[in-house]
Amino acid sequence: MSVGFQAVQWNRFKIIYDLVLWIGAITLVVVFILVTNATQSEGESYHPVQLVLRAFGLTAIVLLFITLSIGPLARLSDRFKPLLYNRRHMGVTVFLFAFLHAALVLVWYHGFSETNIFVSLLSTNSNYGQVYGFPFEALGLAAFLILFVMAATSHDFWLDFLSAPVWKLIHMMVYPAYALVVGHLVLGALQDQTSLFSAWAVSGAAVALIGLHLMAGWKEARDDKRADRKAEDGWLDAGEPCDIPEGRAVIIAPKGGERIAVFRDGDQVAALSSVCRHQNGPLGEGHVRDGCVVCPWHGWEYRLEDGRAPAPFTEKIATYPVRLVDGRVQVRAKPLPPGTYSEPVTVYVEDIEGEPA
Amino acid sequence: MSKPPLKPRISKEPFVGYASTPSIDRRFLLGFGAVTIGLTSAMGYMIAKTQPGGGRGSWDMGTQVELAGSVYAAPYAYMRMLVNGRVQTVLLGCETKCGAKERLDDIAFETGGAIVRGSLLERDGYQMLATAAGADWIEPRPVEAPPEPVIEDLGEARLTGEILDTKCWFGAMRPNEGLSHKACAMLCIASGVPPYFGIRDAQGRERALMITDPDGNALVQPILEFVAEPIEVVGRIIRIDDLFQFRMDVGSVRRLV
Repeated sequence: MSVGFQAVQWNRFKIIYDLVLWIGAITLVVVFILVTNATQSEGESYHPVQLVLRAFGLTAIVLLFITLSIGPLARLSDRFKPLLYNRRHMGVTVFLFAFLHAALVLVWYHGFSETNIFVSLLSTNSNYGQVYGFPFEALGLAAFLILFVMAATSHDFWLDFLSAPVWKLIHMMVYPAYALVVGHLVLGALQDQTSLFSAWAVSGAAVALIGLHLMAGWKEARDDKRADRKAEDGWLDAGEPCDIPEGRAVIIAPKGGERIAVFRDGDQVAALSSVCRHQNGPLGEGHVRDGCVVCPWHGWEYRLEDGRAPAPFTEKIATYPVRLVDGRVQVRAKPLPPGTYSEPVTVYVEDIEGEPA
Repeated sequence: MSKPPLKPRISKEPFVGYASTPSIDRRFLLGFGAVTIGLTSAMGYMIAKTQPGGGRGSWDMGTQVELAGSVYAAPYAYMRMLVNGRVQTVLLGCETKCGAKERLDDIAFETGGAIVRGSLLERDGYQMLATAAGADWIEPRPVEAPPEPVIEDLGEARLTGEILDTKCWFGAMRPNEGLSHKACAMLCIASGVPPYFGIRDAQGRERALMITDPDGNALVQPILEFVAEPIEVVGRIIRIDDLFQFRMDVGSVRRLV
């Protein structure tokens, strides 16, 4: 949420996040290098360049796995949600390590000859028709290009410039990139291993990642099913006002429609789209602060009554008319255009007595 | 119209990145970070510990040496020297990914005595001189010549092993075998680095034989696709002093994986 361009809007949380991230990354590189050197048989050694390029590649893959795990972990438990806030820094760090790995590979393995390094990379080994001996470098290159595009467009400027759906589509390419990286490893470095440990690590990580996403998807589908409400005369039931905790929301998920977040701020109840304009974050899992709904992912804010970001910001989301019938909150199924004022409904003290919050 | 109450999907104090982090989040995140660093370090430790060794060989690039002997341009550039009364073969390469044959061709040098300058790559008795850049890398002149080569036909053999590029295998790179190194080895051999066939002898020791065609000429293009893969191949082994040639029948190559 930025009205003017700023490369990084640093704050204390981001600084500590990045510090821990880089301590972890550098520790992994150092451990890998020291242990490799310490465990060589007599007369054997790694060339320093090859050792470092392997350490960078390993670090990129490990960080990519962690980056991809954060999304489903945050869906499974609120405790992991803060990790999403600065996840793009981890993504860019993945790219930096992948870049260092790729640059060293390119220069070391494909340089120092009369053949152009890129020509060599793409054409020296052209055994695309076989599994063993397949030019696994091509898979790594494809993954690298995806990571490059993602890193280059990671700033919110590009989100605004490309529009949220296009930006989201580009950044969902991280999953094909991960698959390409696994293929790069399986057809390359893993083939030279004499121990099965690395193969187990790669396959275990892939299975864990798939499992986490399936669990998160299953939980979301279950929550949506519970939150499903059929419209009667175009209005959806959102329960009693006391079911909505102070400053929080309940989410309605009408079949085929967008999730709706029904917030209560004191005695005012209003409904907004539960989808943040930023990265489709779950607004309904956020909270109300100074009359604005705050997205739990990156802190984007929208006014409760009209779905508009407070000035000078210009983002806006759809609002929904709300009414109180027989002591129950009802929300109109059809949204109003983004940014349209919709009068919040006032609930009475007796309606929110015994509130769960 | 009524259904059971909807449950909010939140369960804790709200977190806002740019505001003060709630203590419950702070504690959890620092713990999560510490555990993650511990686990990734353990993973790095295990992967490093279980990976194959880097390989033998060395290249002392900083030390320039002069070797005197008989230089040959075919099948690949090499020289024969007398060392302590015994003939020793040293391949001639260059400082980048190329062989010295082209450099010999450039000065129309075929066979004869010379002083050759460069840096030495060595692995278990195998040697290559990475000839120095610049025009004075070779000085053709009469030197103490080794005796005429003793050529011995050791017969036909079916060998199992891997096609290697000598410069990397002698020590320019470590690791220098296997698929991770395949493209590099292919590029080296295609660029003029002599190819060898790496095997293990009956005692499990690493041996490498110079690859040629059945007539003893350089063999490059037909073998490229098999480089760095485990293969079985038939050929004739010829011993020339301390050098073993493997005159390979490319048509007999069988991939083992």
